[in-house]
Amino acid sequence: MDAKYARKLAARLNTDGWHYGGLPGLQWEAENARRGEPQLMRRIVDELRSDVRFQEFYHACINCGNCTSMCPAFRFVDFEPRIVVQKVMHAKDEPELLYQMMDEYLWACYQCYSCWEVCPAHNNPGGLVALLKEAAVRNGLESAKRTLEPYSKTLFKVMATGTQITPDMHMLFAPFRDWGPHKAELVKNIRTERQGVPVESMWGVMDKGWRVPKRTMLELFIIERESGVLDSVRNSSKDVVDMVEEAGKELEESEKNG
Amino acid sequence: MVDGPETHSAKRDDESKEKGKFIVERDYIEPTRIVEPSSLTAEGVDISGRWGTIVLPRTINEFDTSIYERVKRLPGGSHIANCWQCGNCSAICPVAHEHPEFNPRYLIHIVKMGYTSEIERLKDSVYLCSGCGLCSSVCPRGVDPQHVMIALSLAFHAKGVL
Amino acid sequence: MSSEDSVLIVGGGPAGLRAAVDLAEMGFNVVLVERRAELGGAPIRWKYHTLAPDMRPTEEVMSPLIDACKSNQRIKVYTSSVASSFSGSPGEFSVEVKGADGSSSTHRVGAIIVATGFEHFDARVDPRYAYGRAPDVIGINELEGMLRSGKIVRHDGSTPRRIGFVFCVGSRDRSTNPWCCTVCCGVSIKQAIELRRLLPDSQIYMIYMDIRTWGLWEKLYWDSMEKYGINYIRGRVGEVYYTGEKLLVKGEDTLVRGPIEVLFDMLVLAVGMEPGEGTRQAARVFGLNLNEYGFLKPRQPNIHFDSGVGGVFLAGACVAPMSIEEALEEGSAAAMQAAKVLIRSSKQRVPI
Repeated sequence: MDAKYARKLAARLNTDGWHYGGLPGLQWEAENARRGEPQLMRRIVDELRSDVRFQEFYHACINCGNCTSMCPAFRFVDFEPRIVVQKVMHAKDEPELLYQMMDEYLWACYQCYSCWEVCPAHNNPGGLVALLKEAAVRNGLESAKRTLEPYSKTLFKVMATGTQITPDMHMLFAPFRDWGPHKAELVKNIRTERQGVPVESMWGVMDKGWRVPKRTMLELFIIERESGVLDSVRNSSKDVVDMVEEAGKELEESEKNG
Repeated sequence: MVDGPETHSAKRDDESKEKGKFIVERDYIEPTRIVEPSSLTAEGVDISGRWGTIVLPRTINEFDTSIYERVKRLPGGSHIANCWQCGNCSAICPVAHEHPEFNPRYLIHIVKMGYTSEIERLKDSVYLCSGCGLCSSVCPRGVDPQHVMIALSLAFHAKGVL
Repeated sequence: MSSEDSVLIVGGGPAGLRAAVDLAEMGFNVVLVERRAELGGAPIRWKYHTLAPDMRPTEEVMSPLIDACKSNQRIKVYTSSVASSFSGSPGEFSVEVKGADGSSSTHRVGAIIVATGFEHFDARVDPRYAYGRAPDVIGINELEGMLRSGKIVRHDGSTPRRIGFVFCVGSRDRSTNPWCCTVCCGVSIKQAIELRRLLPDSQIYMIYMDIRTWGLWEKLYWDSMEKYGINYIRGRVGEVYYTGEKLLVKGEDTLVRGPIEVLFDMLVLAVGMEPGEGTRQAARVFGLNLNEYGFLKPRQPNIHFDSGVGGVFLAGACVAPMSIEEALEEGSAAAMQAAKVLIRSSKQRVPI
């Protein structure tokens, strides 16, 4: 009986000999990850650990929870920087741990880096989240596509001009048209909506937009092309990259022609 | 000018899945804490629905020790105060390895601390205990988790949690 | 006084007093230099009520030593004084002692013991705990004084009902001090038990990362839960706010993954230990090495008394954070080493 039970438990181990049952109430998360592609999961771990920033962002975690106590996302979502660091710590043996966070978990992070400021070991949980989000985008994971889709215009603006706030995003007729999910349906009564739920930071933006010089945009495009930014985004947002490349080529042409 | 958001908690699963489904990390938010105002009007225009969606904070603001006090007085639960959360019970528990949502250490902790929302979420799992007694045999502090589980179910019942 | 039968001891805390008394009882002369106005070190300065682990009154441990130092003819005590310069070799040092009042004296001694102790971490350095800004946030050192008076009161004179202890304040944090102060767990738990005895209706929550009640101190930890119903929350406090009435403590219960924002009536910070100005001053005068944290660095990490400078010995919390019981033992150990030097040098002069 004992041997049979032991065999049953052993059958659940992954190729590295580990089994993770999941946090109480979050077993579905572990289940999802078990269906993932092993090579992809391993690749994500290797990419993370070989990133030049990893050495600075991660030292070791003593599980004190200081990062989490400062985390604004944690107040609303079952998301914890501490768990992120713990999973990064253990993912060397169990790549599933990172993969299961990429589906939904990571995207709860606001990237405010409060965690970084308070960590007694000087880890940077927010930075690790950013690295993992980058890996999700680079590898074209479903979650990245799904998350980025409603922000394609913002993404385009950032990649093409280096800023996400541009005058045409604040046109009276189509403000924030594709900024965030399902914005189109809101546009009808947008002024009233704004008054209903005012966003302070938006006042005064309308007349303060700026134009980015063509030269700067061209430089940005060349940097993005040469440093591999375009390639890293291509897997998850092909349309945006195509648009950026098209715009960049036009700029190059006009530069050549003076 | 604006009518305040009206809380309504979801009772059915299918209804709760609809709420806030556009939130990327939706599965990490308890449905009861997503509030979509059923009536929110501004200047006569109905703007209820997604725009006004609010996620209520999940912070624990109070230690409600009433269940803990009751468990301490029940025969099986008299040693619950000894628990220091080493996790030996959950480690050896054969049920916990099959159903990780049953976690004796965790149940003891949320009752000791009086985290009512967590108790509400995991109250049913206490019945998964098979009563094998392995936990009580390994507990370094003599907490007797096997009988604490029985005391917990009695206390939940008396408190009206179940 | 000749140099071959005298020892200079810098620091009049538990380690220094113990060394002085031991040497005097062995028949040597002692020059005891204390930077502050009174003898006794941190336990007396902060009015420690009782000592962990068995809650023995501090006087029972410290008074016999202080009285012996004051009454023993062989011990010459210089309070409000520091050793300001030093020369010579083991067996024949010459040390100048300067007083705060401008007085100065030179002593010929055979050996030197440095026992300059520690300072409690100043919690104002880490602003997250609101220490110094919010009322009712106190350190364990200040709570000792309250326990001694028997009056546990908030700033407005009311009795606190819910009291929180925050562990590892100014310890185990790269931003402040990365080491563990080793005794704060035990001391905090001792204080929590004393609080429960004084205020049976109080609720006490210990917010900890790890409980390090080493050795036999573990009994404190067990008793606190089993006999006194003290609660433990595993996590670390991120921020403390004063609401005008109470203290809002923001943290995470890492065992539940739950955010807690709970109101406390009083917050006790288990402040750590760090090297003080006295240690740095002694290191400058005697040419001692400091380690990366600013403690005096022994030649070998596991032999504390060996300073690496011949004839100069170390004892107590100036080497590493330690409890009073350990500091007393280190005082005795350093006294033994000093006696060895004195006996050897006198043998050289008077061949047998």
